[in-house]
Amino acid sequence: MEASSLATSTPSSSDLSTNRERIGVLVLMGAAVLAVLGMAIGVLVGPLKITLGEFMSVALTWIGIGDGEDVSRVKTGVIENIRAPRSLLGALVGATLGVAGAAMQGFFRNPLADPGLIGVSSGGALAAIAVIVLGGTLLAPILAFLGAFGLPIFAFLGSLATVAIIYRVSVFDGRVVVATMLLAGVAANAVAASGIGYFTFLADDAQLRDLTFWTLGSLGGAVWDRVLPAGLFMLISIAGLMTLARPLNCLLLGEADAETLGINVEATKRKAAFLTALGVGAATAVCGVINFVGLVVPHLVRLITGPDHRFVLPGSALLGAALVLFSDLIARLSVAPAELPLGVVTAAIGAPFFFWLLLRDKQVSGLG
Amino acid sequence: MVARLENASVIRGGRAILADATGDCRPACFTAFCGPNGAGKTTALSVLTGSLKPDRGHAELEGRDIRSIDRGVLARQRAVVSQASALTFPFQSYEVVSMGRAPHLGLTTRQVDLEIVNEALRLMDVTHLAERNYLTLSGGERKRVDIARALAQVWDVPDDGGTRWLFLDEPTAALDLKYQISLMRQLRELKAQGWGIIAVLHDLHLVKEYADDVWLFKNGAVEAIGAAQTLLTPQRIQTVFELDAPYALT
Repeated sequence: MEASSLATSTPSSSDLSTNRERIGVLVLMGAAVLAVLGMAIGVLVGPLKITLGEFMSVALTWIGIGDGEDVSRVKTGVIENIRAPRSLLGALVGATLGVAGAAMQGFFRNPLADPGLIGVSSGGALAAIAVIVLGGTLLAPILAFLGAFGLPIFAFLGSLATVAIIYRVSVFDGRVVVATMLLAGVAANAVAASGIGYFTFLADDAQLRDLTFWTLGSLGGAVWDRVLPAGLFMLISIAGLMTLARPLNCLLLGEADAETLGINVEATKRKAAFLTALGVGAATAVCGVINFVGLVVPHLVRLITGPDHRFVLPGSALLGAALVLFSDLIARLSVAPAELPLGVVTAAIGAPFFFWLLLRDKQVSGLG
Repeated sequence: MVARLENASVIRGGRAILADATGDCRPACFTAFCGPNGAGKTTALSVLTGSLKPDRGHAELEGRDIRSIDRGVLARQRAVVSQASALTFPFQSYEVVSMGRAPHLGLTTRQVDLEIVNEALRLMDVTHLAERNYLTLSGGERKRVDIARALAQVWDVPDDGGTRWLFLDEPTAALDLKYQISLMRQLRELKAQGWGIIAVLHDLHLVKEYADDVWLFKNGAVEAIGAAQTLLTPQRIQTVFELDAPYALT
C-alpha cells in the first residue's frame, strides 16, 4: 500500500475510521448534548422558576426513589403535567421532522425536499383538523374504534397521500424535476390551507383553538393523552428511517446504479415514504405545521459530516430536537406571558436559510 | 458458464430498440459492443446486466435466468459502470468507492472492505483524489472513480468460484488518451485473471487492439459476432456504420 494522502483512511486494526467518520461521531455527540440541554432548560425555565434540584427530586420519584416531599405540589404539577410532556413532545417532533427531512431529501435525491415545503405536513394537518371537526358526526364510529390513535392515524394518511401525489407529479422517467416538485408543494400547501381554513370556519371553540395553531404550529397542546400515542408513531418513524441509511446512500447514486448494487429500490422508496408520512403526520396532529426544520437541520449536519446518511439521519434527529426545543423556548419567553407560534420562530430561522440555499444552488448548478 | 442473450427483444413506442438479440459473452474474455448511435448497444447491455427486463426472450448469467437471481447474490457477481453517475450530493471519492462494498456488508470484516477500497482506488490511479468532493472532479476523474467502485463491488471471487463480470457503458468516452490506454490494459489484466469484461466502445482501434470478441449492432439487431482481429474488415465497417467508403483500421 502506498503512503499517500490516504493515510487517514488507511486501515489498521486499532483504528478503522476515516476523518469524516470521526467528525461525524463528534457531531452526533455535540447534537445529543444540545438536545438534552434543550429538554432540561425547557423544564426548568418559565414563569414559574424551577431549580435543577427540585426537578431532580421530582424525576427521582418517577423511578421510585424518594417521595418528592421537598417540592411544592404546584411545582410538581407544573413539571409533571405541563413542562415534561412539552419537552418530550418538542424533542420527538424536532427529531421526527429532522429525520423526515433528511430521508425525503435522499428519497427525492434533492436537498430542497422538506416535508413542510412540499406539503406533507399540511396534508397531515388537513386530515387532522378534518378528524377533529367531523369527529363527532361523520367519522364518529371509526374514531370510537381507533381511540387515541385515531388522530395520528388520519394525519398519517393525509401525509401519505400528499407524498404519493407529489412524487407522481414531480418524477419523470426516474428523475425528479425540482421546479415541478416545489410547485407541486405550493399547490399541495394551497389546497391544504383552503381546507384548513374551511374546517376552522366550521369548527366551534371547543374543537379548535385557532387557525394559527395549524398553520404555524405550537407545542402548547402537549398533554400526555395526545403526546403518548403520537409519540409512539414518531418513535417508530425515527427508528425505522435510521435503518434505511445505507440503501438511501446507494440511492443517491441514481436508481439504476443502486439497483445494480443489489438495493431493492422500490422497497426502499416505499418504506421511506411510509415512515416519513407516519412521523410527520403524527407530529402535525399534535402540534400543527412546523416548517423549515426538515430543510435546515439536515443541511447543517451535511455541511459538517458530508452526505453519508449513517450520520445525517441520527444527526438530523438530534439537532432537529435541539432546534425545536430552543425555538420553543424563544416562543415561550420572548413575549411572556403570551406565546409566539412556534412556526414563527422556526420560519424566522429557516426562511433566510432557504433563500441562501436557492442562491447557492443557482451558482453551483442551476436548479437542475 | 457464459453471459448470454437469448432472443432478447425490447420494444419501445412500438419499435424494437433491441430485436431478437442472441449471443454469448465468455468469461476470461473481453467482449466489445460496437455499432452506430441508437443501434441497441446500451439496451443489450442493460438486458445482459439484469437491469432491464426484455419484452421477449431473456438473459442468462452462468446458466440461470438473470432476473431470477437474488439481487444481493447478483450484486456480488457482476458490477456495472453506467454512462454517467446521477450523483448530486457531495460525497468524497472514497465514500463513492466504498458504496461498491454495499453488497458485502456483514459478509466481510470492515478492515477487508477498507483494504479493497484502497486497492481499487490505487488500481484506477485515483488515490490522490480519495478525499476530494466527487462533484468537483472532471469527467474523466469521475469515470475512474466509478470504475474503482465497480471493481470494489466484485473484488472477491464468488463463493462458488464463479466468474466476476464487469459491464461498462462507454467507459473511455470521458478519458484522455493516457487513461484510455491504461484502462484497456487494466481490463486486459482483469481478463487474464478470469474476469468477464463486456464494454460498449466507439473507438474501433482500441477494440481491435484490446478486445477479444466483438458484437456489431445495427438498427437494434446483432449484425455479427466474431473475433475482433478478423471481424472488423473495412467492408464490414462500411456496411455497419453506413460509410461512403470502406474504412481500414491500422
